[in-house]
Amino acid sequence: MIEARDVYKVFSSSGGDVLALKGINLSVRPSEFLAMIGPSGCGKSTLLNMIAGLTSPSRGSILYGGQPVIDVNRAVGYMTQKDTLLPWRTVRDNIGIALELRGLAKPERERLVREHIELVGLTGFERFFPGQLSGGMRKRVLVARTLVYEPETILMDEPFGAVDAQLKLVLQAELLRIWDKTKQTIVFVTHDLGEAIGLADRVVVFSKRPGQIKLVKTVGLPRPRDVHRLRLSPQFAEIYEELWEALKGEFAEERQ
Amino acid sequence: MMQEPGAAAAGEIPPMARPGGQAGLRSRGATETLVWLGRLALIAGLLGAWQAASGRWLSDFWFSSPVLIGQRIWEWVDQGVLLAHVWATVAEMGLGFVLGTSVAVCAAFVLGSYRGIAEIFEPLIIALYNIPKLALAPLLILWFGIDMTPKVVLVALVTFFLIFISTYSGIRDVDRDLVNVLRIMGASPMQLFTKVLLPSSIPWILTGVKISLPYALTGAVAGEMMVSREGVGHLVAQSALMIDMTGVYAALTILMVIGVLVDTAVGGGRDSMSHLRNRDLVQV
Repeated sequence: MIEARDVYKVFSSSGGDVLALKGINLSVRPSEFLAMIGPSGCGKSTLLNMIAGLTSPSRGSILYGGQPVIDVNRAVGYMTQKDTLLPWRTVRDNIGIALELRGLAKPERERLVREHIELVGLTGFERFFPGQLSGGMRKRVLVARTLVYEPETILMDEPFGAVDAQLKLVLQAELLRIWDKTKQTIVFVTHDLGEAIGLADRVVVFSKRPGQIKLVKTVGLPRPRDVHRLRLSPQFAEIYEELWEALKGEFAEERQ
Repeated sequence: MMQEPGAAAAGEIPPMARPGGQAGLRSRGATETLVWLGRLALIAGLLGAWQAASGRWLSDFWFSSPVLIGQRIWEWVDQGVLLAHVWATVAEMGLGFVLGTSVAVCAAFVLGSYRGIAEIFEPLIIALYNIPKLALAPLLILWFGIDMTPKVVLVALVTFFLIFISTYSGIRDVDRDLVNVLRIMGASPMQLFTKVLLPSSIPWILTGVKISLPYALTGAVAGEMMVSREGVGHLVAQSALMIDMTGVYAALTILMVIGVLVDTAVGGGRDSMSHLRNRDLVQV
């Protein structure tokens, strides 16, 4: 259970103070897939960083499992849009790094790594270096690396942001397939409305800066979902319409 | 599992592209042979001209000759003094270098990780960096005597700044996101150091090593030339003091050989060690 209680965030710079988040109240249920969407700069990534304990609220508090988050939160896994693989480690050693850090015995480590390499479909690429993989394969390695130590909660910040549309759908389908088995809590930041609806149980719409929660929408679509076909269903279109109505104002105002 | 574009291509990594292929290789080999012949001819020509001119148009007292220099080096080898001198110089250089490098890498990691401390130290480091290090030799000799110690310290100082600056830039260059992801995974500060910071900065450290080794040799020799009982720098200074030009040239030849060997060793090591990372950087 993750809770944001009246969270404000101010960034100070030489150009003055910027209010990034304003009065955020939100709770994420265990095993929930929650998507956050909003225009860039609306503070959704900042909120994710707060849950991870990388930054703290200027006012209010973030509770994780009932406890305020005051230091780096080791109960979560974090996957960002950026490629944070270690270029000098092979696929296998990149995936196993969290287990290594946590001092897991080697046989156990190898077993888990093998399992997760299989899970993301990278069998045969164990000894490859990140530089030898395609962009989509590197994303898979990142997913496996985040899942392998079984964090309670996974934070994803536009994880499939930089890949092309088709591959994005493939990766989304993979993520859902894995999540259906593991049922971890996922907080997923995106600026792709279709992605948010396709994946999540609930979608949170943020306003432009200062970020406030504009709307929380429960996506009632049945699971397991097929991210490809889902888009053709009338329910999807309905939810898309409603959320887009809320969202488009934020983009329109941004242009002025 | 769906096959995605690019996966098949990644399965077979093409070897580093070579210009030309087989035919290109052969002609490049031929060119290389010519270059080497040219180099040999140049050196042989220069040495031959020197030898011929010496005693005829040039005073062999001031200019000596390749044969005399060769004989002198052989004498030194024969008497068993050369090895001791070379050893002294190489030992000063090696010890000072290791000392300077270790302190520099540690300092760079501490200052690179704590911005606040770095800002406090910055003016001091810049001020010290701008002292011509060789000017410290007399001071170090007064402090540490005439044995190896002052030379080792001098080499360490020369090395320290070059490696420090290079490593510090490397640490500042490490991706913050990478560090954060590992912290969330549960990495301790020590694990961050060994698993991220150190490996990411290795190319930077190696660049520092490459730059600083010739200076390390200079430092050791300069120290020996001030006051010393042994070392190749001592040979240069002593020979010059006795206006023994052949001795000066012979000692300089030995320094040249040491310098070239050191440079070759470091150059080769750096290339092969940074190979992996460079390839990654190119392909990403």
